Parts: sequence; C-alpha cells; structure tokens
Amino acid sequence: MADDRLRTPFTLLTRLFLRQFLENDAISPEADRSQLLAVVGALAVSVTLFLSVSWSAKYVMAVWMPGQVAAVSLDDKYLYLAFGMIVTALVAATQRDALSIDPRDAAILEPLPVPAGTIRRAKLAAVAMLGAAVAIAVNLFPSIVFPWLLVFNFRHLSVWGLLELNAIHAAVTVASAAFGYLAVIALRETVALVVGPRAFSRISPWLQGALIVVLGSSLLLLPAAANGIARSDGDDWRAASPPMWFLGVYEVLAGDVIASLPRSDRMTARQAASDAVNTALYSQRRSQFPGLARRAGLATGLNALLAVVSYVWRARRLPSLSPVPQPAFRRRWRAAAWLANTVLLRDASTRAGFHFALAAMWRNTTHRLTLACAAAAGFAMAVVALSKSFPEQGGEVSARLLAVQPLLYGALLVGFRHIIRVPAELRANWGFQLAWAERGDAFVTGVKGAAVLALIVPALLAVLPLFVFALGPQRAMLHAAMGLAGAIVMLEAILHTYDKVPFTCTYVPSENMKALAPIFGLVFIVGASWFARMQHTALHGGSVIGVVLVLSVMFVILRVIAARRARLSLVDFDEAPASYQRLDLNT
Amino acid sequence: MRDLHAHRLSKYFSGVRVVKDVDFTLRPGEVIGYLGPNGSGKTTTARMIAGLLEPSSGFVEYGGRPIHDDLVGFRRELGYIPEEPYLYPFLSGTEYLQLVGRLREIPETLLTMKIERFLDLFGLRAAADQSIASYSKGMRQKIVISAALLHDPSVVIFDEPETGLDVSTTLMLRHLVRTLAARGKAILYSSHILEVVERVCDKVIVIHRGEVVADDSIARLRALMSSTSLEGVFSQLVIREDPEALARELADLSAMAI
Repeated sequence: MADDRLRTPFTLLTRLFLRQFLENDAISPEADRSQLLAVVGALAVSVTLFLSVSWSAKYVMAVWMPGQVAAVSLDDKYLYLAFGMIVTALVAATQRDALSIDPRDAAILEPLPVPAGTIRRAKLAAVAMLGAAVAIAVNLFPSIVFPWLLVFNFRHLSVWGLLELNAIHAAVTVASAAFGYLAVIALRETVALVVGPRAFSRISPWLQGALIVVLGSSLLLLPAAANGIARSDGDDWRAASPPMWFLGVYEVLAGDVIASLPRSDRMTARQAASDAVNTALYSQRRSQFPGLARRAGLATGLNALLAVVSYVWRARRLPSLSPVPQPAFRRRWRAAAWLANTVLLRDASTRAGFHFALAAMWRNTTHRLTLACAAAAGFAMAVVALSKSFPEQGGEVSARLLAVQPLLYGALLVGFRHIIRVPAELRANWGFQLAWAERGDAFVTGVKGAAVLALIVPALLAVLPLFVFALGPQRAMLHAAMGLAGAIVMLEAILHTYDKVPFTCTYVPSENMKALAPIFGLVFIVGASWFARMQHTALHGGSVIGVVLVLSVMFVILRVIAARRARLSLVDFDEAPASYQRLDLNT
Repeated sequence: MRDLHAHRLSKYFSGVRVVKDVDFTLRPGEVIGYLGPNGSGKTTTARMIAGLLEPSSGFVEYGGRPIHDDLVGFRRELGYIPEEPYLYPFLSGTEYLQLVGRLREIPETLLTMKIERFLDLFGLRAAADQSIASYSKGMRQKIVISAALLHDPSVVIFDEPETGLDVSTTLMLRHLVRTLAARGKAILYSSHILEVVERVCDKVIVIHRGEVVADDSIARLRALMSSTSLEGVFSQLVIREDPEALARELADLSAMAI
C-alpha cells in the first residue's frame, strides 16, 4: 500500500520537481546531486550553529539580569528573524524559473496521461516543501541554542518555560522566513501577471538580479541594522521593516517569560540599577508590540493571499514551449558597437572576446547570479563604509569615504574573476575549439575590455554623484580617473595567473579555496583601504600624477609577467575531470 | 587543396572499442559517404578527423602531415557540422556567427556581409537577433552549417546534417554538397539516410560495430553485392536481424495487456 502511494502521479511529479531545485550549477557544475545536498546540508548546520552560538555567547560570558536580557535580546531576536527571512527569500530569488511550471516541464509532461491539475498541485507542493525545508533548516539550531543561552543564568526558569521559549522562537522565526519566501513568489507572480509574458521574459532576469542585490546587501548590513532597538523611540525606519513586525509577535507571545522572572536577592546595587533602567526601557517598548504583531498578521495574510492567488492564476494554463516570441536583442547599441569595433577593438580575436564576455556575463543565469551576489557584497561594504563617514558638502572627506569606490568595483571584479572560470555552455565549446586560432592574449584583452565597460565604468559612475557632492566636480573627476586606473591594475592582477580561455574551460573548483577565502577577503579590504588612503593623500595636496604613475608601473610589471607566462602556458580546453570525460562533455 | 588521410584510426572508451582500424583517403573534389547504423562509430570517427577527439591509436594526416602537429592550422581548413547543434543559447544567431568569424579572424566587413547573406539564404533573417535558446533544431542546424562555411574551408565534415532540417533545406543541402565538391572541397558525409548518400557521394565507406565492412564506389558495391540499390547493399552488409520479424515482435510487445 505504502509503495503504491509513493507511485501516484502526484508523488512522482512532486519528487521530480524537488529534484529540479537541485539542478543548479551555481555552486559548481562538477557537483552531483548527492554532493550538492551534502554541501548544502553541512553548510546549513555549520553556519546556523556557528551564528547562533556566536550571536548568543555574550549571555553566558557575563552575569545578566532579566531586565537587561529582555531589552538587549530584542536586537538578537530582530537579527534572527531578519536573517531567516532574507535567506529564505534569497533561495526563492535564486530559484526563479524553477518556482513555476516552465515550458520544458509542460512539453514533457503534457503528452502524458496526467491531468494538468495534478501537475500544478505537484509543483505547488514542491515549492511549498522547498520553502518549508529552507525555513526550518535556517531556524532549527537557533531555535534550540538561542533560547537556551538566553536564560543560561536564570535558575528560576523551569524546563517548561525553556521549552516554551524554544517553541515560540521556532514558530515565529519559521513564520518570518515563510513570509520572505512568499514575498518573493508574490512579487514575481504579480509582476508577471501585470506586465504579461512577453515583457516578463525581458525584465525577469533584471528583476532577479535586483532582488539578489537588495537581499544580499540587506543580509550583509543586518548586524548594523539590528542594533539599539530597545533604546530607539519605536518610530524609526525599523518599524516599517517586516522583521520588526514579527518581533512584535515574538514579544507578545514570549515577552513576559524573561521580563517577569523573579530577581535574585544577591544583585549588587549596580546590577539592580542597570536592571531597573533596562526593565523600564523594555516596558516602554512593550506597548508597541501588539500593534506590530497585528501588522505582521495583516501583512502575512495579504502576502500569502497575493502569492497564492497570483501563482494559481498564472498556473491555470500550462505554458507552451513557443507561445511567446523571444524578444530580439536590442539594436540601439549598434552604432556604439560599430564605433568600438573600428576604433578600440581593432583585432578580430579581441572583438570576439569583448562581445562574447559581454553577452555571457549578463545573459547566462549562473554568471548573472554570481555578479549580482558580488554587486550585493560590494554595495553592502560601500554602505558600511559610508554609514560612518557620510560627507557634508564641501567638508573634509575621510579616506574611509573614498574606500567606497574601490570596495564597490573590487567586489564586482572578484565576481568577474569567478565567472570567467565557469563555462558559459560546456557542450558548445566545440565551436570555440574549431575556430580557436591560439590568440588567447588578444581574446583575453577583449574580455578585460568587457569588464572595464560593463563593470568598472558603471561602478565608478554609480558613486560619482556622491563624490561630486563631497569633493566638488573637479576633484571627483580626478578621483574617478584614479579609480579607473586602480581598477585596471586590479583587473590585470587578478587575471595574471589565469591562462585558460574565459567562459569555456571546465571549472574545477580550487581545493584550498575555503582556507584561502578569508585571507583573500582580508587582503581585499586592506588593499581597498590602502588605495583609498593613497587617493586621499593625492587629493589633499599630494600628486594625482604620482598615483597614476605608480599604478602605471604596477600595470607594466603585471603585463610583463603575463607576457612571460603566455609563452610558457598555452590555452588548454581539455581540462575536464574523469567524470566529464566519460560523459564526453569536455570536448 | 590537399588530401586527408585517416590512418588506421581506433578509439576505445573505458576499454570498450568503438572504432577499429578505420583507414581511408579523402581527396579534393571528392565526396565520401560514411554509412553505418546507430552506434556504429560514425560520429566518433568524424570527431577524430576534426581533431576534437584524440585517437587511441592511428592518426589523421592532412597534406602529408599529422593534423596534431598543427591542429590550429588544420582547423583553419576545416568546416565541421556536428550531429547535435550545441550552441550558446544566450547568443543570437548573428552573435554566434560573429563570434566564430572573429575567432577565425575574418575581416569585419567581409564577415558582416557573409553573415547577412547566410542568414538571408537560410531564411533566418527574422530570427537573427533572437536568442538561440528560442531556435528550433533545424534553425540551429542552419546556424551550424553557416558557421562551418563562413571561412571557405577546404575540408568539410557533415555528421548527419539533415537532422531537424525541413524538406527544402535538405534538398538544398544535397546540392550544396555537390557544388562544394565541384569547387574542389573534400567532403566526408556521414549519414544513415541511404537515399541522400546515394545521390551525393562518389564513394561509400560502410562501418559496422566500429569496423569498416565496405569501402568502394556505389556502382562497384552494387555490382559486388548483386544489388540494385545502396539500401540492398547496406542490408546485406549491416542488417543482421530480419527487420520484418523484429517489427512484428515490437508490435506484439506493445500489444501485451497492461
């Protein structure tokens, strides 16, 4: 009987759709499904355990009074609620097309004698299961560890009281995560309904990229945002943020568990005073929680309603493989392309590298996702740098503020360094192999040109208004020019050890990446602040020409090293591991 | 224009022999049909000749030199149309042809003109700026054929090029093969469509289970096998089972009660 239940069309299709979520080579195209599951599972356990212990260890390290814990823990609760919400929303954003029935699913499944309703229900079940799994995975360990460490010092709290805290933390954080997941679905489906399938196929990649940048930046800025909630007046920007609404639910359900604990007779006068101040702070805030909780309930209801209605409405007809003619790539840049081809890109292989890199980095899902994540990281670092050094017009500008520029383009270039290692379409490499004239250097020059045009220049332009405001137009232009020179040197530096054909060679992840990543991260931040100091000195009485000269010398040295390497090592397409060679995917 | 010589080519995958001792010479202006049933080793041979796959033993010579001595130089002379038209789905047809043409260092003005003409002649003008992801298999195949002919190759390998093509394009392809041969190109035409091979090829190599079982002109093969058609020759050389009996068995199997 049980075996029969596992073989119903609904169950089979649900399992199929669940497996589709794992058909994602954003991590590595080499990883198979079980490897990927193991990596994701291990990552979920280790990261959430590490974060919950590190965020909550302070409650064990010192003696805390109930009033202090009640007030201070508001920041941590906000952090957990927002973390779960953003991570789950990010998962939904990265899955994008797999969240609804795509034309390929319909083409395969429609000819089978399975009712369309079963296909729709199976997809919906798979989407719901993915959301539930992520929401639980992100919040499982924090729901055990955080409440336990929170009341570690309070002997008066019963086991039942602790279990109650565990259950409330789990329920509210999972609900908050589900809210984030549903919000992405609601946004995607509503936009698709409003603009129609043709326009949606055009804007969908940009919507996904923008979502990832916004969510990724929010995630990185979270520790700074979740600070001083008890001391704020309750009407700041956080009151409009969904995690705050769920904090209201949390406190309505569990607020009195800690705040009303009996105080110890052995409190010192200082502890008692601190407890009294914090208890008063918490009491002031407490009156706002029911209102926030009501807002959470209303928003959750609306969000769920919008997500379900738009999802079901869009899914009422299975998509066809070719109902919507694909939009043609825009021709408005044709004149600019002609100018670039005739003036800047005079070599055919350079033109090939330039145009291919431009197309691959924005149109290929994996590459676009990686760049969106890099942009999110850069944006978040820039905001952190900016938050403590916001300039006044015409006032003194700190080196910290100038670091906004290298942090932003630097993060994009690191993302670019990663994407060129990932093949754009492994099976299409044969075209490259046949047409390749071993002019790797010229091809890579074109690829670098694409990085300058599509990543560095937009990053510099994005921050230019800020520096025009802070430095004035003339110095802002000098700053941008130095930034451009610095970015070109950085691009040369990060690519000087790369001796393969970008976007084509099999990606074999570096074995020691996990160990080296923190070192690279540190070097990047130190490098960006060093460069910002250099710019600061140049702009405040030093020599801009001197900076450009130093960068030019660095560039020449890197070019000489690269030229020597190019003579030693030629491009090699056939680098696939044995598993790829067996499948004949490497040729 | 030079000769292409496949010299005792063999290929093993994980110890399993796929091609064994294939040996033939392809001369300028000649069209050799490479025939065989599914899984007989046609594509593997074609890929070895194109230099995309290294033979386990044997070698390919072009103009008296092993192609692996100067693979890039050989590929400048080669046009290859694979059976599966794998392309970059995020590029448009025009962009893909531009990529290939630029990698082959064709001057920009000539390249632009050739691409426009190829797209026009293949009826792809309307879809030229759409992503290849939206192309049908036949449209992709037309792009692959255009890419293979952009640089005026001396040797052209067609590996089952008719897959997905409509009737008029298939007819055009037959004429194209003959026209290219008349202009001195050496052509290897791998297929299992006997009628096409019979019409366009001067000579036929029949491969079965990785081994060459016949290598001669179509007329001589017909005479040798006392058959009036290439289909008859092929049946005698390759088809071991009785097709009618096999078809009956398949129909019986399908009719078995669920």
